[in-house]
Amino acid sequence: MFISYALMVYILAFMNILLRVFISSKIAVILAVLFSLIGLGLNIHEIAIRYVLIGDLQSSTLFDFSIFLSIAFNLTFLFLFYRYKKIVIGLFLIPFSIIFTAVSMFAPMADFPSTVYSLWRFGHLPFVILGSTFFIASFISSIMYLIQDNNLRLKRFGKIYKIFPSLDTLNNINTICMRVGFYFFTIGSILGFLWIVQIAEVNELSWFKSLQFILSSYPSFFIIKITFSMITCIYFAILILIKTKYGLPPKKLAMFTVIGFFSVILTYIGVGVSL
Amino acid sequence: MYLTLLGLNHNSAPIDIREQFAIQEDQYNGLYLAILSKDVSECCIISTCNRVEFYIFTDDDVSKETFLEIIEDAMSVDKNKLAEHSYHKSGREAIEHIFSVASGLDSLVVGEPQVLGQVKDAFQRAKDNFAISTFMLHLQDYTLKIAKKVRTDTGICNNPVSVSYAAVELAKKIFDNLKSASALIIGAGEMCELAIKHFITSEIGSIVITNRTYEKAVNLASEYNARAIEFDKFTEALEEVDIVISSTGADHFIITHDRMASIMNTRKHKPLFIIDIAVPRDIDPEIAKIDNIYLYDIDDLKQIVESNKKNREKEAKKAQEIIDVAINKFYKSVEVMKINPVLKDVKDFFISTKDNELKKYLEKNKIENEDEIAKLDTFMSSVINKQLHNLFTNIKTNVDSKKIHTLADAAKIIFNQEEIDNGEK
Repeated sequence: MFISYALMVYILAFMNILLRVFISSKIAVILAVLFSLIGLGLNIHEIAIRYVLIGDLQSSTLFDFSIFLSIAFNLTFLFLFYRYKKIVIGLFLIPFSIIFTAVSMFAPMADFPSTVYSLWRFGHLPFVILGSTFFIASFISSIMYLIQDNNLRLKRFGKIYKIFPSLDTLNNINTICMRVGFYFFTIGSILGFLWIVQIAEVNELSWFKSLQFILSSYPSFFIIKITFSMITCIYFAILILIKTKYGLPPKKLAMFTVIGFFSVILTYIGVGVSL
Repeated sequence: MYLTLLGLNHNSAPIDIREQFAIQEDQYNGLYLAILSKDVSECCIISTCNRVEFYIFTDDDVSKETFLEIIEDAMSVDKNKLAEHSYHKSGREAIEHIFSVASGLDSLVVGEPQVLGQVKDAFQRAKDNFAISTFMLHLQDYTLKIAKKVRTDTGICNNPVSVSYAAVELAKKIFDNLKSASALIIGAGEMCELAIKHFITSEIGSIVITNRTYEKAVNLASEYNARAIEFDKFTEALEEVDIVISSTGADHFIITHDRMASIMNTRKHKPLFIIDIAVPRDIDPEIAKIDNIYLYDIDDLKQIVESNKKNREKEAKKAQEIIDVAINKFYKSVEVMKINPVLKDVKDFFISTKDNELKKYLEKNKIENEDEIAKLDTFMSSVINKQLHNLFTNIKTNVDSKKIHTLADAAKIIFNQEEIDNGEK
């Protein structure tokens, strides 16, 4: 019930973003943010209800996974809007919230094979998902940077040139998303490791055996996802290091972000399909 | 009350004529006194570099000939010359004109932002000279409101239409915050000075100026709180700045591709926005191929300006629609303003009648209890207020009705006879 409301308000938020971007309606900005906040509230409410009913956050079902993703994209949009006041970024992030809220409506709620009840597990999923969405936002802002750079270079001053922010802002969004994504992902990974250690203690296994035990209980696509998320994280860590130490120019940073992220995703899809 | 306008602008008069009619600050007081002494109730003069316009409110319609005589007497100018180059508008046309002027539709550069401030100043000056009251103040409120609506609801002011302003707007698409950016100006000519002015308006962080004649750079720098450097040191400045504007009279490229490539390495490829407004060009166009350099020449900027002008013309049509709606609303509001004193008299009449009748009733029935008197008074007041509220609403709503030909028509509208008939049925 609340999911369908959440889907509706996300669609309304997206429509208001369109109104702001294409016909410069000022009130649409306020409405877009308001609807995003309501959608966030409704999604959190859904998770809270599940916790109250089941007494556990069944964070490994496709239902929960989709809801968390929807929240994460929404939070990323709200964070970037709060910081840069550029609503246009929502044009590319809110659709993800819409898609994942829609997916959650039809997703099974049954858990994957049960694992040890652990607080680390509850922290692991939100952090890893938030990290991933910030990486995606970094990828989106990089594409926007390259398009805007092309517009300025080729002197094309069409609609896209007008609605996209300045190169400076896009570079800042890219950098901050990369950093925040990396921090969240690292925290999420540490929490995940602590969870494995906890399981190892309960089952009196070594942590490596415990990891094998957990992975064997998940479907194969899930394991591929985890592997490629880790590769993405390592890739962004290298980019951050190079940028901090040697001062990577904004255009190169955008290009490396797009190329790196794209190849990781393509390989992920390729491996997924071949399996 | 009649609103009439007499004026001349860039379309009706060449600059030498406009110069003759331009009004100096110390002339306004005498002018207002002279105009108001000619059976004019209210007056406002708008004088900018492109126009001089006189708006007057009078009890009777004022012909162009009469208006020319008023201005001839007030300004001691040649009436025939003014007649030849001026336009005369009254009523709806005059209102439409002032709305268009304040919205920037009648400007030399459509949508230019300064004119709204100038109109605002003109009304303030008229107020300071006690030349405007009820109607002109109402016109002022409406004019400023409509001008703001046009600017916010249409894209008439969105795109720059001067070369130097276009350069600043382009810079804002590269550097979000010009406060932390720095600019190097190579040359000290008029175009460079214009660009400096626009950058200062956009609160640029710092400006460095260089010129072959060092003294000129120093003079310009001191005028705009910038820093001057010698011409042979400008390549060093290129390593630091974010924006370069070049307009020298050199007959060869002063910045070559190879030199720039090496400077970009030193800069660690930090983005650099270069505007070459010199003819012949100062900057080797090949440097546009270097990553993170955005090079524009005068033709590129002119192309932007031309395209923006076309966009503004499109937006001007939307603005005209807003103005057309506003004129009707303004007319109605003026009619309501005119009728307000009459309605107040009607209300006063009803209240005094109520007070008299209440007094007679209290004396006849020997009622002295204050509570009872207060209750009766409240009851009668509420009946009167309710009735009058409905009547006044009907009057105000239909104040500009074209259906009223007889008193019977008016009575039907005021007492809302259709509703009464329906109620009886």
